[in-house]
Amino acid sequence: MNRVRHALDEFWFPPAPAARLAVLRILIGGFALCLVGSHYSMWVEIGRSDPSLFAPVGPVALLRHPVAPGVNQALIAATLVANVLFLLGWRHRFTGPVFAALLMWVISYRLSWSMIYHSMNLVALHVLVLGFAPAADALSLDARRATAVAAGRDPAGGWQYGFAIRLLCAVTVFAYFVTGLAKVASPMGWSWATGEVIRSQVAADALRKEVLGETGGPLFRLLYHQVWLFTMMGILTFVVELGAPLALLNKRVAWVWAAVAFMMHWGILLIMGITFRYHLSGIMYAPFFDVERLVQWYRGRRGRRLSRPIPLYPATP
Amino acid sequence: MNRAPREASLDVVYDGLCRFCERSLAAVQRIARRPLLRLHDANDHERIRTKFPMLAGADTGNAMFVVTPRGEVFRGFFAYRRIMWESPRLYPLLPLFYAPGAGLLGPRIYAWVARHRRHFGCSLDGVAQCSVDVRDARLERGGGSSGGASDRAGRATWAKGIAGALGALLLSATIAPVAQNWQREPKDNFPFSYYPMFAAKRSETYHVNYIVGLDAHGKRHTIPHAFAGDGGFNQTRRQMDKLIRTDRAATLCQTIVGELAQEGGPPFRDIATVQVVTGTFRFADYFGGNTAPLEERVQASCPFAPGQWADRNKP
Repeated sequence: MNRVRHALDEFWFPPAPAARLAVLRILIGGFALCLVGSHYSMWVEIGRSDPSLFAPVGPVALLRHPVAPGVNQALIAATLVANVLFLLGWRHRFTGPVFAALLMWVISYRLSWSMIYHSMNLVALHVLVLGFAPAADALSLDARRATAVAAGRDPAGGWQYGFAIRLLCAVTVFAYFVTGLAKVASPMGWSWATGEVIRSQVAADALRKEVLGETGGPLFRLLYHQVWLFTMMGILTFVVELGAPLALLNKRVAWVWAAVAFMMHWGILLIMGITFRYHLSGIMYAPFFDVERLVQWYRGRRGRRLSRPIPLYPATP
Repeated sequence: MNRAPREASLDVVYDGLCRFCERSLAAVQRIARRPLLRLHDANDHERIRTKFPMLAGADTGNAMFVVTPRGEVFRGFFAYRRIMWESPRLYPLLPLFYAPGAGLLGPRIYAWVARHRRHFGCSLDGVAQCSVDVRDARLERGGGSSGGASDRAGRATWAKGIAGALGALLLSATIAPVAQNWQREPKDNFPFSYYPMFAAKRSETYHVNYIVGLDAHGKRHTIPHAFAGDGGFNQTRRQMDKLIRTDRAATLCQTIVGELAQEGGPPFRDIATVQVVTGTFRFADYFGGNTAPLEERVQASCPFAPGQWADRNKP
């Protein structure tokens, strides 16, 4: 029993530096800021939609009717403010959960109008984990006040950081796994991998995009008759989705999985014209890597630049 | 303004000899920043029997109980869930307690934690049970302080237990929507989804709703989805489907005409009629080069008078 406990402890609570979780806070928080900021007008407009189209999901399901457009706009604006504080790591113990809750709300509200965009699920879940984790113990305004030390955590390597990162990875791979299970559980079962289903789905997507005045995937028309290609895509999709939990077992497997999944989404963009921004940015897979090295690399570069001799006089032409 | 402190409103009957239980309840009250709970040691059987007759026969040795002022009784996981409603500061935790599958998995996780509660965060030597032993041992050590490596380790174990339980809830909620695959009418949700996209096979033919503009000569023009809604391609498409399904194609058509009148630029100024149509296409034909629908059904048709365009462009 003790061995099992020890193994579980090692698996779920590995020590990790505070800087790794902090970089993830900055990357994922930065992505969230781009997401909300770039869609600000659209999300405000959506709040003014016909109330009969309101189909609440997530926490918004507590509402029976849409909120006033002004309230929606104020909440989106508050989310942006909280997002900036989250990025800066200012009083993260409070601003973290507040931002996580606000982001969950505004995305849910944006999706409560007859269409759930699944590409946003993991952003909201990642921010939820980061919001409640000590993600501002480094590279933050909080770090200047040494709140981590005051709370009894060791920024050099604590299980609290490792656990949060492990949870980010687990949520990611299980989301993929659930996606794969939906395909296996469909009437097509394992024969989904033959590629016929994915071809028909992509065809439907491309067709409706064209008749509704949208640009489809640039390559799809060329590739429609290459069934073997869709078979390969089907098999690859199964491997990536159903094999996702394996990424939790080994670091190298995780890197390979993340790289393949990342490329798969770029392939989807080229063939289907579907933009999963979070996946395409690569930020979604950042928890699988030692991202604190980015900081070391940046500091090293900056150090080299600053140590270059500065000419005393401008060069004469 | 009357700012009298609010009194605790819930009675909690728990294992008073379990330090893990004590700490988790204390943590809840710390987060809430006010006393929410009146704590009663379940081991004081006589007192509990007298004060809470509704708990007669309850297994207070196996689980925590919450008794509300109205006499309602909540056990274990549901007792914790009831506590979460006591303070707005605890509300952010509610989604975890109400996540899909939480009602199923929560009690099991709770039962496991309850069974092992005396091993969490209270052992002095890493394996001993807590409760009375802990307090006695502290007194024996002449301390009373909570310092020492074993106590720190105990706190870490306790914190890991809480973190692990919350993490398990989150992962359970992520996986639980899988069950929707076997429901007669599966329901998708956010942020916990069963990700149904691309799972089902399409038939050879495909029905799709779209918008067509006809000019005075009957020439067709594709009218983009953006004139029908603001939420992006797929959302607008779904909303169009919903409106047509609920016999509101005419309303949709009017909305499109209104949007065209406001924002429609040069390619649309010659349009005389806007139609909301359902087309049936065969994939093989369409991607073989024949993009004409097999069948097209006009769901609604709205005139778009040339005057409308001229009027709206007046300064």
